[in-house]
Amino acid sequence: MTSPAQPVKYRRIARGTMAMIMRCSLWLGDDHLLSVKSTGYTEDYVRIYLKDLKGVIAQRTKTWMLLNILLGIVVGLCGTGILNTNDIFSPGTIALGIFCLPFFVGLVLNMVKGPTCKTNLLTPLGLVDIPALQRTRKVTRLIQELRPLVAAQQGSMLRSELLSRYDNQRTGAPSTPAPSPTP
Amino acid sequence: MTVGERPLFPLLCSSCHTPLPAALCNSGESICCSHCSKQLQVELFPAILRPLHEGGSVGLQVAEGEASCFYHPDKQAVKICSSCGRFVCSLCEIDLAGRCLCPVCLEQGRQNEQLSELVTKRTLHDSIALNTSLLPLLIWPVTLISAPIAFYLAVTAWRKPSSILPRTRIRIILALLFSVLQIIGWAALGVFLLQKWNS
Repeated sequence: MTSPAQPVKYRRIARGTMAMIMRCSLWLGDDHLLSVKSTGYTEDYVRIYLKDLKGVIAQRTKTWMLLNILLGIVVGLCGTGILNTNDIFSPGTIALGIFCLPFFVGLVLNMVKGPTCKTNLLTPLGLVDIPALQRTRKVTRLIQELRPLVAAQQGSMLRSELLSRYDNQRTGAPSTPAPSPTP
Repeated sequence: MTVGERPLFPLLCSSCHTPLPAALCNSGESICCSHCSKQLQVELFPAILRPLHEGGSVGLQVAEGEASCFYHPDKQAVKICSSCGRFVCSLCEIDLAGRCLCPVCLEQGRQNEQLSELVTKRTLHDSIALNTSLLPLLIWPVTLISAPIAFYLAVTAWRKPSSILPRTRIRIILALLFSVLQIIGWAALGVFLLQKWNS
């Protein structure tokens, strides 16, 4: 009979939403990443072990720019309306200000969070979509956090050596025998 | 066959699947796909150098006086299952979170949900119980039926496995509290109506 293992301690790295209703998050365990999609009543888990992680690809999307333009137009129109009134404390102006406030907050938050992206992890089975990582800033932070952890699992290697060996092996060119990664 | 001849994992643009130059990766800067002009940030790790189809070894034949695999008597045992203690060959050993398991223990652990590393889906019974106790309040007469159901769900959820992520039992406690309050409310209303009927 299999004895129950010690529960893995997870630390949340990122969270986001999918299709407005599904929540998704990315957690870091001892030796793996856990991508979670939740409906609120069920949770689906995908584990990506650090020893198998081949890379991270983040592709910039236009969502950030589109959101900025849309929210900027609404805030701009409301701001123009407020500034063109004679009495800034009239009920109409205040109502317009209250209407405009959520859009303004959304615009500021969107600008602070930075550009959006679609993130995939390279695994031996192909690309795994990570919907929780929707901002490039978070991806950069994750990569910085992953580097030492992955190096502990896969061995450390200089950037130039890794890239030259990959290019040589991909093109079939004879590569110089490099020392095996140090654990 | 040398490692250089084995196919490697292709590094493709995630948008148009055009091969990307590896020389620009791991720089921390965004690179531009030559075909679709999408901006990409690529970080590669040493595992990218592993060949695509890396098969495992089938194990050595057992020699005189050597321990053999429990499942393959003709193969040399290389590990001991950390759960049942059986000798296993390199074909049977399964490394799971630092533990070596044999296929039978792995299957048992998966069926009994004792191996949290193999869980791919969990139902959040505590959230179901809490929502069953709270949402019917929008149409309050429904709570006459839903409150006992929510109480039953909360009691049964206490022992059921919940999320593998850090999660407290506050939802179950709240579900129990709200369902008990609703049941008490209905009981009080029933007693009040009965007394009024009698008087």
